[in-house]
Amino acid sequence: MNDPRKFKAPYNPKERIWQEADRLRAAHPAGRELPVKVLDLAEFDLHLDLVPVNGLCEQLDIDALLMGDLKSILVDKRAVMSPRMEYRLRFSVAHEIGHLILHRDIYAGLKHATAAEWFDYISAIPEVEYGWVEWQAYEFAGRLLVPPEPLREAFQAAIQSAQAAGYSDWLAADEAALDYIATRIAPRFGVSSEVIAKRLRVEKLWPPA
Amino acid sequence: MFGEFIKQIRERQRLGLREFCLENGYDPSNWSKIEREVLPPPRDEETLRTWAKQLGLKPDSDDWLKFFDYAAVDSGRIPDYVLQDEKLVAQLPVFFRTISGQKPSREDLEKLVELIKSANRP
Repeated sequence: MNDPRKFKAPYNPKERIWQEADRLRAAHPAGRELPVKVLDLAEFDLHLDLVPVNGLCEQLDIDALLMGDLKSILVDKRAVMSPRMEYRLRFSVAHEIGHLILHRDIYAGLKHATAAEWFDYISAIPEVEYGWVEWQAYEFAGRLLVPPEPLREAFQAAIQSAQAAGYSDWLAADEAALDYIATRIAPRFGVSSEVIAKRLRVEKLWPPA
Repeated sequence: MFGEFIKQIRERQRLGLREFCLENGYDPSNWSKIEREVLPPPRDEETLRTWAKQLGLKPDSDDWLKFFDYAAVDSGRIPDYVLQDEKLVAQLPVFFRTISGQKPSREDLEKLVELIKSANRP
């Protein structure tokens, strides 16, 4: 077993993460619809079992997690059942797919003999490396669920509609304007307005030229 | 046998676990346990008929007959109550995203082991 204190997150620049997300979306019909049918992608194309459990969110503040055997995703039962939590569940599952695609080698390289060994290993991974791995999966999920071209189109349409309603000055680069635009766009992609606001910045659409 | 079969039926129709359970009012944890064969199928004929119809099976078709045959075989099966340690350890996750962005504590990890066990317990 490697020394977890020396654990290094794999080098995955944004461009590579985007490429992987785009490739996965393009490879399956569930990925070519909007909103991307991410639960179908997980269950039927990647053959991952979705395993709902009680209390994952309530007790651990977690919506979903990829199991170490890479065969299933544990999901919070309440998130599965509540229509109000659908966007969050979709994003969480996309995030776990990100781990599957980007971090498969890490999972394959870890073999724990006991749960105690696993505790020790996870606990000793440096926070900064852990955070970097999580960022990669987060970026993957955003790109998977919010393809750039439809985002650009939806953004242009939302800007035009806001301008037609007389908001042109207000649109300069105000945070409230970003929120307004993101909220209008979000349902098309089945994600929260926070995810859209983040994608607009990452894809360099915001602030508008 | 039965669990795997009904999962295949769902897969063939690309009928998601969430969608299926929401539409038919089933508890997705229990349905998943039946598909993973942690729980046996019901013995009650009426319940099985309802399930078969909800899964889109046509009466007297090959799949309909298989559905009832597999249910009959598996309904007497006593599921494995204890998740073997070796299997549990293989399932333990590596990275998980807490909503508040925190790395889980040791106490969290212990709770997580219990939740994983509960997902594999009837």
